[in-house]
Amino acid sequence: MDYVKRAFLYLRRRIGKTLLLVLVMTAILTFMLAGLIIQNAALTAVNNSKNAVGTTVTLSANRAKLFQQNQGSASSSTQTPPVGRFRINEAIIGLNTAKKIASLENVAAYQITASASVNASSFTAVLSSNSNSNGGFGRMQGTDSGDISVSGLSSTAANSNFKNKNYVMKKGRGITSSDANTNNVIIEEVLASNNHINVGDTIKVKDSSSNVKNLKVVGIYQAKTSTDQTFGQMQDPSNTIFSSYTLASSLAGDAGKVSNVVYTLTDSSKEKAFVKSAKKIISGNLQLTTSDQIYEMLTSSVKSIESIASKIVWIVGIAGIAILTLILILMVRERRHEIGILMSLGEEKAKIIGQIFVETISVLVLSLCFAGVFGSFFGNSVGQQLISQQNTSQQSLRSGFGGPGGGNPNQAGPNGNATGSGNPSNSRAFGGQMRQFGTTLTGNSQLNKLSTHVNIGTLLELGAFGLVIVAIATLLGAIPIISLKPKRILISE
Amino acid sequence: MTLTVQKLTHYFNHPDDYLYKNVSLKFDPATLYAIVGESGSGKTTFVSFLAGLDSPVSGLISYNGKDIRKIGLTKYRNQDVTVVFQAYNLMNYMTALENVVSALSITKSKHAGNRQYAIDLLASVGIEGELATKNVQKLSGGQQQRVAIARALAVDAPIVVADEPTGNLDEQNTKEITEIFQRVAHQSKKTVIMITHDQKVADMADVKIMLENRQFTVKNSPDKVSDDKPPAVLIN
Repeated sequence: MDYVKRAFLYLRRRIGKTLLLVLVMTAILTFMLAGLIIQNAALTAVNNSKNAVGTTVTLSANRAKLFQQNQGSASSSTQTPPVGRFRINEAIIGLNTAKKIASLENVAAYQITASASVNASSFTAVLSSNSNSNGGFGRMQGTDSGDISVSGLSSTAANSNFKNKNYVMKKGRGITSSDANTNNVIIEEVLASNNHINVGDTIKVKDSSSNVKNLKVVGIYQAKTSTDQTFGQMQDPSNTIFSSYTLASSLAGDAGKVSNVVYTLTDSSKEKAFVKSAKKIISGNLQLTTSDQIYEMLTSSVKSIESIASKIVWIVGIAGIAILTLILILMVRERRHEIGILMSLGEEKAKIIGQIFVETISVLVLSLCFAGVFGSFFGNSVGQQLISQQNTSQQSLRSGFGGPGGGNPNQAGPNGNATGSGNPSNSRAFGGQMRQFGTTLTGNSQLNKLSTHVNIGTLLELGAFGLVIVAIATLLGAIPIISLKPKRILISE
Repeated sequence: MTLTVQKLTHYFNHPDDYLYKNVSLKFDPATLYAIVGESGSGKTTFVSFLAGLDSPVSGLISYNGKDIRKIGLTKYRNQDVTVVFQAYNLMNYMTALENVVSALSITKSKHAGNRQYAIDLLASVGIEGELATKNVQKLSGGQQQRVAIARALAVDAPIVVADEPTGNLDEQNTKEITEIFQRVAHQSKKTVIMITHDQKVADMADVKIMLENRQFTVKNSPDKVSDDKPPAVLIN
């Protein structure tokens, strides 16, 4: 019977002590597994969001500067600006500037976006159930907002809502770059159905100057997501019309200007060089936001969770070593007599330590199974708790910025595209930099729901941690064995 | 196959307060030795040196002409010597059989893994049937000592050192255990060194070594050993 068999025999015959050790080890591993699950889930979410954000640079209005300028002009003016009319026009990017930057090296593609608010003329907008009950942000912020939002873009195919199948083409075709300088639009299925509109029909809308424009319906799409009711009727995806950015700019009275351009780069390592070149082209009222910045904003909460989880793993690991070492020291003390007998039979100290190691490893394996079950529940509950806390604090922060631009991270805005096109309802009245952040969150729902499931990889990782803990604890706990003398244990005169 | 002690001196605190000084003894195979002495005379300390459980302050203990420290005390205990203790010192989470089987494995005996050999050996010392598969804590003192002896006999070590093996036993058990030791010495041809304070037990040995007033004196048993080949002698 070698030391391995002796170890198993000891575990079987001293079942009470074995179970106690399994209990302690399971507790240590459960905490550690919870930490690992959260940490891994957070890392996965961060990586996924990095992929979702991609390597992009967004050209938009510098809201801070525009705000300052607006304040300056307001203070120098003798008249106080009317309440509710104070807004910043973000559509200040000249198309020539946008295209000049697009011609720079390393640009793989670009998406131009613009938005406008119009009123339905030849048809009726879809009414949200509570659109009039609390007004929503849309109604509260300005009286000039129409009941239909026009979301202008280069191509619907590059829009994240269409990419993610939140919006699906049902009839006709989507908007493409060939629709530039045309009145072609696509409308939502419910709006089309309510008003008996088909592909090929012409609809009429009134722009902000009450000019009636004819729009040609080239496609009908279906919005699968419902809107956040607090945003009001215009935020209902059914009331969003997609068009080319040229039409949206024209309807907004900003012909030739757009609010947002997103450049997708071929090589992420050249991002800085691209920004440097682009900055030479743009004026001070415009700004360039890199995907890194967006990525940082997006992932800050998850990184914070990952950091907490990492600390949990380390603290539990160190505490585990300490606890297990103490237990093993006490165990060695209690088993001095047995160790003395083994030594009197000429058993090597290394094998005696080996026996204790095998015993502890066996306990570890059993505990891993239990921890696998408990850790999953524990990790899931702690992970969701952390997420909810982080989201609460983040939403409070967004509220502090003064608008829904931060968006509801759980939900894509109707125009939310991965490249940050903005909220079409009244992007000029709302948003700002946080708007871009909010809309970019579209497609990053993984940030709000961590995948806290136990997989083989996590269990192996936990096993490796457990092995290190057991190895260190056994070595430390076995130190007293090295100095044991069999005569002192077994013979006393 | 001789165990030799040369100029062994030992003390605990001060050289003047020695237990024994310059002791030289020789132990031959196939002989039962009894070391007799008063409590505190240093008998157990002496056999702990012979058993490789401890080292004296000075002096040489050699087996087959090799210093046991050079053999390595662990290896010496593993291969050359086995110990029977007064307190039995059995592995208390094992059965009688498992104690013997594990000793066979630890000492890498030629019978390692042979359960039947262990069962037969236990039977030869009176541990048979259910007793062999009982946890040792459920056995009586005499039975536990028989298991300890079976364990000592099972291993291939040619030297058996027993520290007061009958100290906790009744008269009948004492007699039976001592007879087992006699058989081990004479039939298994092992060197058996037994400590006792019981004169009756000592009288059953081939050679009595008295430890009195820090001096060893040897008394051969004339009816058991021929004079031309004394089994133990005081050297010098």
